[in-house]
Amino acid sequence: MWKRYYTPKSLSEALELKEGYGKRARIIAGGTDLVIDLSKKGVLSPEAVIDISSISDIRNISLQNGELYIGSAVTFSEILRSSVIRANVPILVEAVRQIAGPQIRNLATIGGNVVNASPAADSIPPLLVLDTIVSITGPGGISREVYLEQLLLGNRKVALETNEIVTGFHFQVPTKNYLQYFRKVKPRQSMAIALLNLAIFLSVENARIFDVRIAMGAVAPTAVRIKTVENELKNLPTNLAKDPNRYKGVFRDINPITDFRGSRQYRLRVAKNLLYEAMVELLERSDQNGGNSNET
Amino acid sequence: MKLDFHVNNHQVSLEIEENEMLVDVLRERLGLTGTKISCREGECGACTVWLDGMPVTSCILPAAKAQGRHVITIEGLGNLESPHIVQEQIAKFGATQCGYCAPGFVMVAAALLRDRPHASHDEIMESLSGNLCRCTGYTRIIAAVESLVNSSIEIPLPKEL
Repeated sequence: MWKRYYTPKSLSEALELKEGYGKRARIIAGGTDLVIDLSKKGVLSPEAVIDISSISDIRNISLQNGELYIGSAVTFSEILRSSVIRANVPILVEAVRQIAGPQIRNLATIGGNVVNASPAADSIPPLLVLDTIVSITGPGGISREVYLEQLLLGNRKVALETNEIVTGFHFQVPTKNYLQYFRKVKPRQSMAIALLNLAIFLSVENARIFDVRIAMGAVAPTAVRIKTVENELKNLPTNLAKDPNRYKGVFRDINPITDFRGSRQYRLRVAKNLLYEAMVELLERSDQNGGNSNET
Repeated sequence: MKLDFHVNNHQVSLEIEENEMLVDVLRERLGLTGTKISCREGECGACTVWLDGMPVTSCILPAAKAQGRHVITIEGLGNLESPHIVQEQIAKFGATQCGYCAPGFVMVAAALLRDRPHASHDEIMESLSGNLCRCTGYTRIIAAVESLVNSSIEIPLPKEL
């Protein structure tokens, strides 16, 4: 258990504290996952905790020139209430809606969910199909950006230096030509951790797949893009994409484990079947629209 | 550290350990034992209180997070002499058995009815989804909350909100 708990009000104050403590301090936001580990003896025992959840500079949501920015300390409840997110990225809203329960969503942040880097984190697959860029600030206020895919190294491992803090996420708002899909497989409706989650972005033009981006969680050490299937589907006429054999490539991109939520075999089967079912559903929606995914 | 915050609209100032959880400060230091501890993992909702009006699980909330903020506990909503209308309905509908989960359910239901007096069935289900009951079951709890939809109920609010 920590001895000191800091609640800096500015990013520079937080960075200074972190530099002073180095590895002896943990950055925390909502703390809904980390506090549990920090409270158990021997799991994690930093000397200090630096709570960044009240730094106003990393709590904003903004849309500029088609780029949506979400501060790392924005809570899930704030995402659900945000009209700009609801209007532009329903895929993220759908994923966040299914995280934990209301009390947890009032505290938990998107930055915490990403940096915590659970393979089952529900916000990550939608952010992956959005080609999200992560903004990071380190000592001296020096900032850098990295694609989310490059940030995720493994189960609870991220490519962050000791004294760096994730400040936010941004991505190009999808045009109306994209169909968005999110599905979480779970044993009960609330307070459940995903057995598997799936996010899809699909754009169809003249009965041909123009762009498709697929991400899955809880099937590998990190949430992953299903690139083999993406490449298989690109430019394919939609009628040919309704063949289950097109989705076998998913097995190249995932490597699930067996745990108490489900066996490896079950996860593999669900991954392929769910992906196929989801794609057929999306392709039929575009068929009904004359072979285009633009629904408006 | 010194913690200055508002509890049930009273200014409170006390010395706490920097690693104490809010639920322990409320129960052990302030004697507000209406807020229950069950899972200590944020899973069951028994410890639900309002932080600046939002329901949160106080068992995994470092008390330091409450600095300068407003906390409302079940005692701030009602008591035996003058129960809150949500408490009254829970009793009337037989929606409590051992009663351990009831304070948490009352806190989320009161927050819902405060924000959405015309809440739909789905919104009620969603608002209660972070709370577990292991004896009565959920049917009567949901019916008790549903009976208050469209009624004009008085919900105490933290003063500054």
